[in-house]
Amino acid sequence: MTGVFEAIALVAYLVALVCLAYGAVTARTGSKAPLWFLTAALGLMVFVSTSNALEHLNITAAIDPFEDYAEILFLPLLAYGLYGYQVNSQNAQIANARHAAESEHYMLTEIVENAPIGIAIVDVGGRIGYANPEVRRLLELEDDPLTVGFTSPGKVWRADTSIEPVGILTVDPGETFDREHFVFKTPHSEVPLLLSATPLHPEPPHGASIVTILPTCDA
Amino acid sequence: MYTISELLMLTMALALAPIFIWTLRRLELRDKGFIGLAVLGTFAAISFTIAEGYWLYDVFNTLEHLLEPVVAISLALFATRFLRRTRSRTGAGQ
Repeated sequence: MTGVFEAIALVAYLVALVCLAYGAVTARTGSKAPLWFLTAALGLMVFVSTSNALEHLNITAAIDPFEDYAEILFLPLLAYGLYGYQVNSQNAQIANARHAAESEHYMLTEIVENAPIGIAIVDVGGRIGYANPEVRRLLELEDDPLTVGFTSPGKVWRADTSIEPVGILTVDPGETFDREHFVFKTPHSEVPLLLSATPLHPEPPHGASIVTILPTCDA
Repeated sequence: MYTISELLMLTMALALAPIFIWTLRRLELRDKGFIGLAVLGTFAAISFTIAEGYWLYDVFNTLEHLLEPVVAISLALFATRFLRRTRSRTGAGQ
């Protein structure tokens, strides 16, 4: 009876061995090694089952002395193969997540950079932290390598005030407004603008503000 | 009553048990239950091999031999399903 059990086990191990070996051959490079370890573990069990089947079917016991060596190695190889497969899966998940984050970042950057309106991040002190190409064009911004910011020949003034702003584009912390009239004044020209602003963080301390800028005809 | 190799296998099984548990809990494979069954079956078979030397030889010996095809079939089911899933995912053979 045990011979029948061993014969069944041998056939099943052979099926598993062939399937995993095929899987290892056709797997992507990163997944190959763990699958080969699992295949090796199954190869050892094929050897053990062959030995047992031959012994219990009274054919030969010639390979029985070597059976224990194979049996001892089975569990470590199986453990290492499974552990390796799990680590590979985690690495693949991390790579996928990084790729998704990079794609999302690329898409958002493209949207902001190619938007038909000006989008800027303005610090509390009136320092422009980020300006998309439209803002750079409207406010004639140049990169300032000394302050890692921007320089401009003019400043953005509120339309209804004569108080000179602190920076090129100054918004009070936490200030929110929608399409208000401003004027970009340089020594040579005045360009009317429509500005909207909202704090980057809704709760105090608000920190920087997001400002959108639209050129307008009426000052 | 027991051989050194049997004792070595039992020690190895006990030492590797936390790794198997840790790995199998985190492994994201649909058919990992078959591997779990195979590992449990192997652990049980090793224990029965030692137990049969001391107590109820016939029972433990039969159980041990019965577990052989159980472990093998579990691994075969896992391997065939794993292969089928990976082939359908990669579109191999189409």
